[in-house]
Amino acid sequence: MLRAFFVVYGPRVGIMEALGQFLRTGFPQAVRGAAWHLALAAATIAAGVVVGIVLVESNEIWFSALVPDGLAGGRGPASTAADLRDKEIFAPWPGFIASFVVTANALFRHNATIGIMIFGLGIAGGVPTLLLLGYQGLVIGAFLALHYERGLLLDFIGWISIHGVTEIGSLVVCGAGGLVVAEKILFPGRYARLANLARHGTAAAALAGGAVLMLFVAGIIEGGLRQLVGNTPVRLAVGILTGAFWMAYFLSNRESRRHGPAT
Amino acid sequence: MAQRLDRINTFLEGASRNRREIISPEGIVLEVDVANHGERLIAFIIDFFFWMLATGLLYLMLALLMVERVSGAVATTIVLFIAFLLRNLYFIHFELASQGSTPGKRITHLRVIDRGGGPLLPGAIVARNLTREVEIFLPLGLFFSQPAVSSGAYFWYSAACLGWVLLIAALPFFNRDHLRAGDLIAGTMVISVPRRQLLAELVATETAYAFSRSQLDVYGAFELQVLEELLRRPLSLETSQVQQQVCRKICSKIGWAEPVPAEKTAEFLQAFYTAERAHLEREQLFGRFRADKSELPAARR
Repeated sequence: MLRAFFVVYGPRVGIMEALGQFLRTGFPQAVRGAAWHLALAAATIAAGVVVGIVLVESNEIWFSALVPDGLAGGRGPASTAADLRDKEIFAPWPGFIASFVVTANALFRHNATIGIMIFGLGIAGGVPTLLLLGYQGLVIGAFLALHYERGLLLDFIGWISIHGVTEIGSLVVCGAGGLVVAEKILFPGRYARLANLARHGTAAAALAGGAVLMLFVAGIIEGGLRQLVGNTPVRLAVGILTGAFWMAYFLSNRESRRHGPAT
Repeated sequence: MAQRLDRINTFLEGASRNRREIISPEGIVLEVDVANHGERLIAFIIDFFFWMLATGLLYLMLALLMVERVSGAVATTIVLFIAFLLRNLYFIHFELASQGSTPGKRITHLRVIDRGGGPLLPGAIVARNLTREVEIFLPLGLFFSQPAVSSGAYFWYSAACLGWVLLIAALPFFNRDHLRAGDLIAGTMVISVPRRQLLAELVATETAYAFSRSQLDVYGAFELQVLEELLRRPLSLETSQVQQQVCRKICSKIGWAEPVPAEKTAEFLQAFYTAERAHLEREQLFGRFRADKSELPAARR
């Protein structure tokens, strides 16, 4: 009897099929279902950005306090405008392999670990999720202020937007996943906390899993495309285009609502 | 079959602490045993070992490539990427591919199922395994990067972080169903499905006792199976005491007049089992199945 149960109600799909279904309907649906959580996560990052800008604007020593050395990569209060422009924003393209393979990968692994962490910590009531999100915002704000001081604000925005739209977007999605988990624990409504979590946890994990895939895309753009495209207006345009693409994707496949769970 | 065996087990051993009932979408009640901490730990250690082995092989390949001086950076990156995929997809792939059990779980006879008895969806599997990052790899990382006590405030700060994360990792010890954080989010549960091995026949060819039809009509299939389970138990003082008790019960019930000596108990029970089984099988051939003793025998129906 039990064995029959395992066969009938065990997972019926392989990993590729599950992935395809997830990309077609699961992920956009999960994103649409978590509008408020997305808004809160975005607001937290925005608040972090504002605080980061204000702090670093008032005193640049804050930059070294906020941004860990590994992330700063030699950039800091000591960098001059010329330094930043030539070595960072308009650095020469290091070649196909170094950019698309090496850099993209390191960025992806780093970001994906943070993203999964942001989601997983949702189980601790969402506070660490918000803290981590706010901290990511702080780092971005610190960089913004550093470049603003040196008159490179627009160039920097171009430099970051080409991949940042995807990357920050995916962090917001991860954060939303964590917040869904936290909300279902803290405000269970009619259900028992555990039952409520079990009802919605899968959707939350869909957010996190999808966000990791987004980060993969972001890593490729950041590692390769960013230095390949060498001027600010085009970078901004690419940033806006990726943003439009993600919006269209999340709003797509609306009516493919099926009856009953997909097995 | 499994359900009948479960009924015999509960009859002989009393209710088990880890027994849970789940209801399948068809409304069938299934009894499952929640896996205990030890089993799950062993399963995880086996999986961890396989995973480490695969990762180790990858790095070995990398080292060989380095020695051969094939473009270091690219090889490193590709290996690191595969290692990343391995770490995140190992559990997801195997739980999807082999009905909720990774190799480690398979060896220890564990399985992941939906707690509500519904289908185990891919989403749930992804959910329970993404959380693993926070439950296992984060505490491990924090533990190994724990600074010395002498570093003052920073030590206490990271100790607090570690303690907090360890609390999340220790969730299985704080709830009845041994759920870890990932199980909570995904609505799943890990159960233990021990494999039953097939045993040799118990039926003896010749017996020293003869029973009449009315004597054999007292019991049904369930009692026969209980008796079989009892006869298969390993020999011990306790077993023989229970056997004597059962023997006395049977004798009084079927009206067996001559006393059965203590050393002949097992032999008597064996003979009764053989006769009863032959009788019930014959009755069933005539379409008269009798589930247990509360059902009326065919002769009086």
